[in-house]
Amino acid sequence: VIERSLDPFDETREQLSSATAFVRRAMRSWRTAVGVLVFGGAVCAAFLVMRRPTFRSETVILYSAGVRSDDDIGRPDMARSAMFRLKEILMSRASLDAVTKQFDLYREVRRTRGPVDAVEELKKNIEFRAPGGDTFSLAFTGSSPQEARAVTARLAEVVIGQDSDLRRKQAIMVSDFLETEKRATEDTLREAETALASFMAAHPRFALDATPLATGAAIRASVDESPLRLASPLAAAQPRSFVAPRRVTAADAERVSNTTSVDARDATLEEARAKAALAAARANLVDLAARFTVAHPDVRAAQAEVERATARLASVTVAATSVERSSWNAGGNLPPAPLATARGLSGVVTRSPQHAAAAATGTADVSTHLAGESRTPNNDVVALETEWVKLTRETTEARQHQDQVEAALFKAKGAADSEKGDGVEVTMIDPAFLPQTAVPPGRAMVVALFAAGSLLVAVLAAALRGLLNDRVYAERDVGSFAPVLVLVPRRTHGARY
Amino acid sequence: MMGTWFDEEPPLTTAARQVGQLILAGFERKRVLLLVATLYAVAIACGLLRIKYSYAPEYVLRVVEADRDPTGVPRPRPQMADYVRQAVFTSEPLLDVIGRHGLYPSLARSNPRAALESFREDIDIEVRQNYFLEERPIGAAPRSALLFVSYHNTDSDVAVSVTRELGGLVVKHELSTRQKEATRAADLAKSRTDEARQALTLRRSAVASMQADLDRGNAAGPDRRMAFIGLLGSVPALELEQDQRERREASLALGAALERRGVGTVFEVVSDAVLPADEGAKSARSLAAGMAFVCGLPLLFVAVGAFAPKKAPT
Repeated sequence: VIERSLDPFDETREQLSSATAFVRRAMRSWRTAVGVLVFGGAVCAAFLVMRRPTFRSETVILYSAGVRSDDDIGRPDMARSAMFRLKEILMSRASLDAVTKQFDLYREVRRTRGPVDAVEELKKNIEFRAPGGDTFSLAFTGSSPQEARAVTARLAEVVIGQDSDLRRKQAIMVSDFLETEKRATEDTLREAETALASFMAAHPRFALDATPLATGAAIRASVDESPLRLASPLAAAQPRSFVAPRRVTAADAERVSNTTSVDARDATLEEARAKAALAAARANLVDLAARFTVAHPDVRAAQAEVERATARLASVTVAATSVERSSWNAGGNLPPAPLATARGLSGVVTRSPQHAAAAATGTADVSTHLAGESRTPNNDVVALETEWVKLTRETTEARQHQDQVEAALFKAKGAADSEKGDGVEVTMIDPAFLPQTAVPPGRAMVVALFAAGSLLVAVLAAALRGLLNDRVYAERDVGSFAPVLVLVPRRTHGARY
Repeated sequence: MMGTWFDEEPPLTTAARQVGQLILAGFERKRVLLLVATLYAVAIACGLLRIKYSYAPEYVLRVVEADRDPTGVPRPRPQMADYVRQAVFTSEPLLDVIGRHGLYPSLARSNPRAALESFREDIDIEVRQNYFLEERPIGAAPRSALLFVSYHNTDSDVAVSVTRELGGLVVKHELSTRQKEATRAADLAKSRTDEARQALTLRRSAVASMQADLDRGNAAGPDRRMAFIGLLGSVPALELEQDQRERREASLALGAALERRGVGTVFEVVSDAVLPADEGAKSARSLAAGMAFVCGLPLLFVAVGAFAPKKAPT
């Protein structure tokens, strides 16, 4: 036996010849391959007969948050929370059970295993996705196109309807709670106002503190300045704005002060209060105007407040004038004295005739009567101020609380009415469609898959048989275990020897 | 000393020599080589003719929100691409486009749903420089984003016209939707303002009525006076609420007017789906085909040489 070493070129040829020989040997097992193919075809046919096609329908839901309000700034992603909420609603057992009954789905499962398993089966065939852009897709895979479309549409209706109901119920609950809270805050506010009113009735000077824009003590001090100055001899000696063409006697002053002191006091206090409010409103307006433009809402509100205060002062001035005239009329033969100083917006507190009369006589401290308070040692000023601050703070707090409750109630009512409002809106933008083909793979794809698989198995089976076959068919089959001495060529058809 | 199997492997020079021998063997079979090379050239030419170039013109929109208080206008969608794909390109308008342009004719006849899916697969939507992902603080500059819409088609004219129509569809849909949202919000704000006005009017009339009663009767009870104080105290709250609602109504009405006029959120067309000239693409394809032929020819020589019959030893 002579062993020859092959050069690389011959080695390549040898490998090709070996592969070709193996293919030939494997092809001798063609019957096995055909058998496998036939078996695969039979399995494919059985699968196609037994397989029931399924159809899938889909709908798209859009979640719209509407126009943004001031409160929405910084709020977390609402669409994400909506996705979880809608999914929970969709997968709730109660709603799915109603759907299975309505469309008689999974009848066999419901009959044999109960409605719970039918619902579970329905869940397996529902697909809920949130592809983004505030949209949600809802799909159902059913046994017929009509069923798929109808169930998908129904599921979408259920989700949208229940979500709307849920939000409305929540808003109504909040609204009801806020209504109750509002009543409670109203009671609290009424109690606080009652206490405050009682205090003001007992101490009318504190009524000057009605405006929230200035310090009450300062206003009282400014208002008290007038009657106190009236009481002083110096003030009496230098009347500023009062023209009295005739002499006023002490008797006249006493008569006037007895009959009209109460009305005059009220008018003076009211006028002083209006002026203080106007001054405070103006100060507020100046402050805001320095910081904002004229179009700013706060500036506009401050301007409105100034106008209101101006109108109030004008009406109070007119009323005070009429009181003074009536007091003169009630005083007897004294002619109505003209007021030298107009009760304009910038004037100081104008003294009434009775003040002047009292000052002229120099005998009566009118301010004590005007104030309507007896300055006894028991009436401690500090205690009164403390009580006043406490009452006003309670009233302010109660009012702020009520304002907050009312604002929240306003929003809750808007949310409860969200279907026509700028609140959240969930709509079906792409309705469920009627599927025209079954869910892939279709029949052609199934046949192709089975054909490919069968062919592969057939080739493998033939190759395996060729590998295991130890029969001698060619020279190389012998050469692997014994040397070849003589090679007799195969006789071909038509060859003659 | 025993070497590893790696040492027993033939070197690269052997492989190169073997390839050279195969090529030489292939040259010896000139007829077969000519036949195979011709078939290869024909296959490349067929592929070149059969594989059509896909055109994808881009319709670019710049979306800029209104330069005003963001609380008075509808919210923009941060995830704009997904929104356009899902909420704008819905079944109805896309089927309409398919029908008007005669897209996917055989598929549209047999299965319109499949044609719709194919159409969606051929549409590309992309958003760049999307500042809508960030919340806009009050007083900040308006946000903007670039929206790219493109449609792939082998016919350049069809690709351009369909892309333009899709871009126009986005603008039309968004303007319509935002206008509806703004109008709805303004209408609701108006009704709420009317409610507040009515409540304030009723309260003021109640105050006036009670004041008249108190003025007429000198000896009104303290309860009645307290009720009057309560009524008076409730008026400012109602005024404040009415004022807030009026402001909100004014803001929303202005936003709705802007949206109606189309000057709220602006959709500027940056690029109107323009396609470059096709000359360069054609020459590039010809060059690629030539390169494929030149690179594939040595492999053909090797294949022909490998299957050459064995020569008898000399």
